[in-house]
Amino acid sequence: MDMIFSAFAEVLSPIPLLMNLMGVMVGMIIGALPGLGSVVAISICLPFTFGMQPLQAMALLLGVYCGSNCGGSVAAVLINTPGTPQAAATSIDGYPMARMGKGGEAIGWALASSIFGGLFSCAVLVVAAPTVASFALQFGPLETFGLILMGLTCISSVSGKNQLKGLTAGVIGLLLACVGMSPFTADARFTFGFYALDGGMDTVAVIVGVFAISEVIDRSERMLHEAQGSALKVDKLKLPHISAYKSRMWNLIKSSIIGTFVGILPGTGATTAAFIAYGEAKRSSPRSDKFGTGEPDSIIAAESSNNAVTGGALVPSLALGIPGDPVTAIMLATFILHGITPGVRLMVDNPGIVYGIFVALAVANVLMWPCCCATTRIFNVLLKTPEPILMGLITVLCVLGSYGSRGNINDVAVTIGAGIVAYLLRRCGFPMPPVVIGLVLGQQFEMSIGQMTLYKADLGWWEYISQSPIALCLFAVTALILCMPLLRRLGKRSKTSVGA
Amino acid sequence: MKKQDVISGALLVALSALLYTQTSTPSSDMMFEDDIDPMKYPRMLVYLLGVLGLMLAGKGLILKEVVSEIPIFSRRTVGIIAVLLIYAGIFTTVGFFVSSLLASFAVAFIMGWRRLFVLAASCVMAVVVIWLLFTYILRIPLPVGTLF
Repeated sequence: MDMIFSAFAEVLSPIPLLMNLMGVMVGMIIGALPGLGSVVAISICLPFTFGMQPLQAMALLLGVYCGSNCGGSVAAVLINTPGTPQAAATSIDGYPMARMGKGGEAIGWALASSIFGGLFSCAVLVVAAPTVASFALQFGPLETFGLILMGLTCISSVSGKNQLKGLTAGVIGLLLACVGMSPFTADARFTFGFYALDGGMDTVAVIVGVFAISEVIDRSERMLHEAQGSALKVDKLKLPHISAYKSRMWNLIKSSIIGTFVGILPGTGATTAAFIAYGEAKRSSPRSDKFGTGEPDSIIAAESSNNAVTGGALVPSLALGIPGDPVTAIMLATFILHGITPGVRLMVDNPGIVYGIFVALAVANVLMWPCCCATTRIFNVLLKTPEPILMGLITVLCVLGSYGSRGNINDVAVTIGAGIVAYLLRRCGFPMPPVVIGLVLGQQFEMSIGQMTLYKADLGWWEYISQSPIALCLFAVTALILCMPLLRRLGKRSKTSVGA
Repeated sequence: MKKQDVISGALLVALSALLYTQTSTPSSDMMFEDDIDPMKYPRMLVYLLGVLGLMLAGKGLILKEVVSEIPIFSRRTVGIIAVLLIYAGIFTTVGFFVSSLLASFAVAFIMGWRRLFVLAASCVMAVVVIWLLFTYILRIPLPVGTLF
């Protein structure tokens, strides 16, 4: 409890609070711009954290994370084009409400539900992360290997329909993590004689290239083929009265639980959470017949669940060092950038930072309210920002992002190269999140294999593995996650055959 | 035949062959018998990449061609890629200010923005703000070139 109070004191001091506020503001603005989303928003803001203390940097990025989630729903309501993929479910009823002249009310429902979902997931994070982390302290090399292997399986779940391409992208990420000196000997690998690569690929440079630069190249042609909807006007944000929640409270709580739980599962993400919660609300709501015509129940379900993912996704990231999605992968990369090693010892070695993150996330959720009120009027103008000018600015910020982390021009070359290759891969249907997950987990994975080999000594592999029930459990869960798509397909097939 | 998959699969196989040549160099620091071979793990990944490339190419031969209305390479995308490469090339030689101004202007121009005065003004303003922010608030030195 003392840790929480001291974290409150630290986060509520002027500079971290200002960073949090700016993060929410910027996140809302970037999140509202269709096509950019949370990952690009965080990639763009990453260079601004270089000169900051770790907690200030995390406060800024957490603000951007929460703000972009909320900002995405504004675009979904006003122009029927979700700013972020997770806001897609919000537009189903948000846009019809805006067309009825209730745009401010729709944004109000979205905002209030987002704040509730975010705070709910924060509470779960505060309770769950330390418990999981203290359990994980018992882990030796074998258990760590099992854990990272389980983290890598989330590559399968973030790959969508194309598992083969997702797996290939994951292997590319693991290979990128091998570039540079071996962690065991002084041998340089995959450097092709370039001494500049001896230190390895800078994670930030690769992330910025893979997500932001490839987006700039992709948008250059795609924007010609996509029609931009015209924005509906909204003058004032109207928060729902507490009594309006009377018959909707269970929907709000249930959707927040769904969002938090989905967030904890590696590789699922806010979009999945929003649609699961939307489906559940449609099934159980007494007003389900009004869904699609401007029913707040649908907005409550979508928004509370997609923002509840933020706290849920941080549970495995902070407690175990396993990123569940690209956003948390960037967060872990930011830790490395600031000299903090993510992993099972994070909570023991840096409790101040971790508890600071809990509080910063809660504060960011609360700050969404004043920020959204302040920015509602400018959203009308903002959504008309010319995309070409925006893309020019993003290009400059990306290059600064990769240069600023180490002041090395080679990192700029890495960013541009990664961006061009990522663009080509994206266009060929390869998902990008597995590349980053492979890159972030790659070095730890190789390290754990090496340590395991040394600890095993003369024991046989089965003899060694069977000594650890935790490792056996982790391997079993990994196998289950891998087999899940197959089991689901078999289940569907048997259902169809029964139906026929 | 899905051309994109066949070509990307073949390229991945070629890439894995190229990377394999890098893993076949003898390791220098193997002092003890139970030391870890630093090339063993990367080599396994290279094999895996090759196999996945083959599977992808093979699958592409069976699948039907999907034609996208958005071309992978167009004058715009090639133009943007060229600007990015030039930007990376001149970033330290001409400095942050001039290179960033040119790059942001060129990206917006290639993407179709033709109101040149507005474009120039917004680019100058954005670059000045970023420069001031990095230099005086964040205290991160940005490269200064021969011009500025």
